[in-house]
Amino acid sequence: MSTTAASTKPVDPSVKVVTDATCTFCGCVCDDIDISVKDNHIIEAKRACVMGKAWFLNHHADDRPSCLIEGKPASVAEGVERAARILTEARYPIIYGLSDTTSEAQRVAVHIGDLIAGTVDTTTSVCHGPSGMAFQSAGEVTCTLGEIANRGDLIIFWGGNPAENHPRHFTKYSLMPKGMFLPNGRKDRTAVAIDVRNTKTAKAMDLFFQVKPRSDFECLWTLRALAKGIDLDPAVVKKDTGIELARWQDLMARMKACKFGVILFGMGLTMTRGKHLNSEALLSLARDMNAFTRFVVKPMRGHGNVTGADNVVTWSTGYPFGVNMSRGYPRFNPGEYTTSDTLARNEADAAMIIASDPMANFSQPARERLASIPYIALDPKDTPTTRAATVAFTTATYGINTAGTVYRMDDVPIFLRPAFESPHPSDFDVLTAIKHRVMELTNQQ
Amino acid sequence: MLTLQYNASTLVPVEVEGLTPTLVRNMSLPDIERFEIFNGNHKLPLAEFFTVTGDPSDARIQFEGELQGVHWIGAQMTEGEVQVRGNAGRHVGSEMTGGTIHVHGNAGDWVGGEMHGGLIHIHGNAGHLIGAAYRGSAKGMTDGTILIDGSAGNEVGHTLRRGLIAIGGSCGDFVGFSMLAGTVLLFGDSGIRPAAGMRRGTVAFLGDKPPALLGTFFRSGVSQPLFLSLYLQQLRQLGFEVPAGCWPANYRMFRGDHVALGRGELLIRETPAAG
Repeated sequence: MSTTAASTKPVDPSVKVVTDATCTFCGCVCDDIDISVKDNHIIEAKRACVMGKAWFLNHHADDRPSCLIEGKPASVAEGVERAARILTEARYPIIYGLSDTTSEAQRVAVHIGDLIAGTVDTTTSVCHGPSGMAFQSAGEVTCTLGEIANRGDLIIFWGGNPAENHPRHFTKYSLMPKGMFLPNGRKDRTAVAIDVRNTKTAKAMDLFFQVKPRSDFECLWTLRALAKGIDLDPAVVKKDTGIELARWQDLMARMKACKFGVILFGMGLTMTRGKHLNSEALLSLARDMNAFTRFVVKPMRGHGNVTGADNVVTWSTGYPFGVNMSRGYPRFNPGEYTTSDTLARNEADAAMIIASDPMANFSQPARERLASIPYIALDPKDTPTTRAATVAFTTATYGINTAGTVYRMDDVPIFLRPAFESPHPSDFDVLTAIKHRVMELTNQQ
Repeated sequence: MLTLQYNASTLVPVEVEGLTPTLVRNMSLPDIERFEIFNGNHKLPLAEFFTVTGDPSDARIQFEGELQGVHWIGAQMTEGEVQVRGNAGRHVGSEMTGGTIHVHGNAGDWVGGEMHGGLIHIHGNAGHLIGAAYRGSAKGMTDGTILIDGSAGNEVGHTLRRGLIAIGGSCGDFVGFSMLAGTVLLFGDSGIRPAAGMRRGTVAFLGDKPPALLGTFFRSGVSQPLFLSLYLQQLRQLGFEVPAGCWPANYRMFRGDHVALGRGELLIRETPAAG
């Protein structure tokens, strides 16, 4: 991979090639893509997976105005003015989204949240938020994806389907690569899937545990008990987990015997009954296993820069998501300050939604509340959320049109190499303008 | 008694943290009216939300009205009495160290969060995380008594360290999760995974339907524990309804959670065989 700034290698005069571009579609944030651009259209994306190709090749700049106020075209300056007034006049303003924009823009958004004494929340609260809560209780024994590629000889996928959701994860990091201590690649690894469904991921594994739905906690408790040498009743284990005790015992023996165990988990764990306590049980299992061997655990993050959102909000406020600053200092309480809850309870009275579409995926009460309050939306695309917004900014697409920083799912920062300019401003530019106007309106420096 | 009649209609949370019997007992009514509380990110005088009447000198406060949007009632109080005539919001009695709170209605989440002493009696239902540790804290409630006449939500007594929680109705999942010590008495049905990760302490199930336990709790005999009769007597003295049949009765004991320290005990009332 090139470590220099964006390099271009003209192949034919009308085609621009950007090497080592970064795909921001999923949390893998592959930064080895060579994209070819002709007439402001990407015509090729070498090494991109099927999702990455769709991300790059289907990209086009919306020909909407850069700003709409109540559905009517307006200048960006007018939109900034209206947005700043909405945010400063509110008593319970919320800022939400942030997982599909640069960390530079995220940082400005958090600053605005502080200036308006608002609540800052990210899409983490509806995906891996339970993991963020569990990190505080159990800690996280962690590593980078590079360590997994070079050392991980037992890989367990729990409640996730990377074969379809993170297609290059297997080949770049977790299953196939020949690593420093795994010279034979796949042959040196034992791969295990634990899921309620027989997915495409499960088919690529050495072992598959098709567990009883909503029994993740019981499965994890069984493994924790086995790690501690506790005798369990086979009938109870089979009833609770859907899997024979002997199979769990076999898995535990492999876990204790491996040199570098890895558990990669998805929303099949975090969003089923038990949520953060499922995550806490898994993190605790990984912690327990370090009494026997090296064992790590990592969440499989979905959005391109949701990990960046966690990082930025955490190093800005001390908490990863659902942070309320109405008293002038940060307070963290998922369920109380998370966006789906503040909307569903009709508490929020203004909002700014950045690179997210809650109108398409929140609960009906939350969507009804959002539709009833003034809110600002920033998004490159026309979405249900931008359509109902009081002020809608059409922004440039991060990674394709704008540079900046994103964080890979293992918290490694990656720089973006844009392919071509957008006619629209970036999230960073719009948010910075709103921030300055908010500072003027609130007499803050 | 100081009476605070809630007359606001805002949907934005109203937070009355700091408005305790100790604070107001030496204040004049105009001073109390000027006491600033939070409405979202605005700090406003109490009188914008409440009609203030009565005499605060006896360290008794009565809240009246539909207060489900009013949070932190009685938080950090050290003495005196708070009565709520109506539904209350979140964090009732949070971190209180003394005094009594009665809510004659329902209460939201986090009743008695990290409470250190005193009594909270919710005469209706309550939300999640009763007496629990706030996220990131090592310990939940460390002393005192919480009585819920009705039902409660998930994670009742999360990381409970000491004290008594009694739930008259049913409760949600993970009651007594990661308990360090203390006592939870449940008179209705339990959700799944009760007492998961408990280290010490007691969770007693006095209802008719025995809970499904995790496989890391092991049977440890049948008894009529004397301490339980003392607790039930105390509950009756506090005005909490203890159903007939809870005492005398046989209780089957389970030890666990062996994934954690394993010194906790679960007591499950054995219901007499039909016929």
